[in-house]
Amino acid sequence: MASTSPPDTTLDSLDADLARADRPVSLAPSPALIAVAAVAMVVSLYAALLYAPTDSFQGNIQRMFYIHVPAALTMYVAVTLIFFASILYLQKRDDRWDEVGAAAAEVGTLFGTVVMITGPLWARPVWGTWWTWDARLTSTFILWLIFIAYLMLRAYGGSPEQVARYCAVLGIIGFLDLPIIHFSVVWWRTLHPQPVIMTEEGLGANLPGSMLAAVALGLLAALLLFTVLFRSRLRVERISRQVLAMRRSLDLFDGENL
Amino acid sequence: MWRKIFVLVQKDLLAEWTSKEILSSTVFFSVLVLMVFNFAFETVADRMAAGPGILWATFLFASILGMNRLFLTEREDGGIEGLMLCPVDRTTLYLAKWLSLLVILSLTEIVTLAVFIVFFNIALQGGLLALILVIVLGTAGLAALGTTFAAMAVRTRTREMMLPMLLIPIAVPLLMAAVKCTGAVLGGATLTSVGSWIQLLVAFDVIFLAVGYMTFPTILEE
Repeated sequence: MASTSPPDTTLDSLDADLARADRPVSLAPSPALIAVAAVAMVVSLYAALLYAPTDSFQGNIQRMFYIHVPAALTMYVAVTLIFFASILYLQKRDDRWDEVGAAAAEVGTLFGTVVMITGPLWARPVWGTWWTWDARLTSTFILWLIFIAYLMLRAYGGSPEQVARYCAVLGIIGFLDLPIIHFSVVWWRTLHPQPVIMTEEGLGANLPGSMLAAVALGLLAALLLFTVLFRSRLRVERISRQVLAMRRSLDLFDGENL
Repeated sequence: MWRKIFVLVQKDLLAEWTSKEILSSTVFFSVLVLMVFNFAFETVADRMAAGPGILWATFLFASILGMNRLFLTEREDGGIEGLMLCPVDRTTLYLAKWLSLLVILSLTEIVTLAVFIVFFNIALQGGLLALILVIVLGTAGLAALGTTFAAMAVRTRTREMMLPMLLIPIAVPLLMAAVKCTGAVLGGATLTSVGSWIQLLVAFDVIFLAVGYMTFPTILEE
């Protein structure tokens, strides 16, 4: 069976497998949470498309803002979650923290991909270019690449136990890299001025109240959606590990590996 | 601890000295990459503007080649078990491997730099010491990450494919800083003009050397 890990033949690991197979799975997002998330998404869509005023310079395309920015912030929430789950995993060696890392990484990558798709779609009509190596674009792009590297390591890292350890190390390194990346891309720009195609988005201060409300709603909806997806993904992760554990213990009973 | 590190580094370098497995490949590869870049940028008017970037891209690619070998021979010949049985802390092992890698990469970079100076017709106006400082700071950070990631990559299924995917995104700020500092030095400016970049390099080195030091025992677990 699973060729990724050498077959465990000790009774200790059988015990561990049985214990894992018995663990309750009660992570499914509650119907109430799903309902709230769905309502928040519809309301935030209304706020983004109808309630918020049309931007006087950019026109309707600016409404991308209400999806783009919340998705980006949610990606940063995900990477922070991975960081703490990684530390806790290395400290306690509890599989559950590894599961949190795995789920947060996948859902975080999804939100990151939303950012990477909506960004160029918005940039092309407004700045006249799909992409520019502006500080914020660059740092978001690098973070997205780190997410992908993390998923690659999860996919090809070897035995599940080894993957858990290695991903925890990468989760810590990636998070600690973020402030360094931030400074480097900001300085890179300021030392190398380019024709200004991007002005500050001006989150907060110079944003009309209705726009601020719409983006706050967008953020709330994105975070709720993240929670729903994250918990569902976590549940799938836990169940799939239980199935693996059951199969391993069955193999042992069959005497295949004894 | 220092004696143990010294012995371990001596062992690595002695093995490298007899086989020359890593150095011969990284040095030759560097020359090849420099040649490729030379043609890629031939039509660019101000070729020197691309110089620092070319130098560090070459360092990076050659480093990845070298890092991949850092644990491979030991993995293949079972030497890693011997190392694990040694009465040394795994953290000491990290520092020793980092130092061995630093020496091997530095030797590669000396040759690369010489070829670069010839190909790109560079006149170092007394900035050699500053340039060496920048290269050492940059290489120390690359080696700190490289030791961690190479130890991981060698045990993954995709092996040498894994290392660049882990290393490059994390190392981007280091490369930016190194390129800026190298550009300043080659342009005749002092290092104080890029003081904040130097600080960033030092911070990068310290942070990832510390993380590597602390997490290495985790990586070596079987």
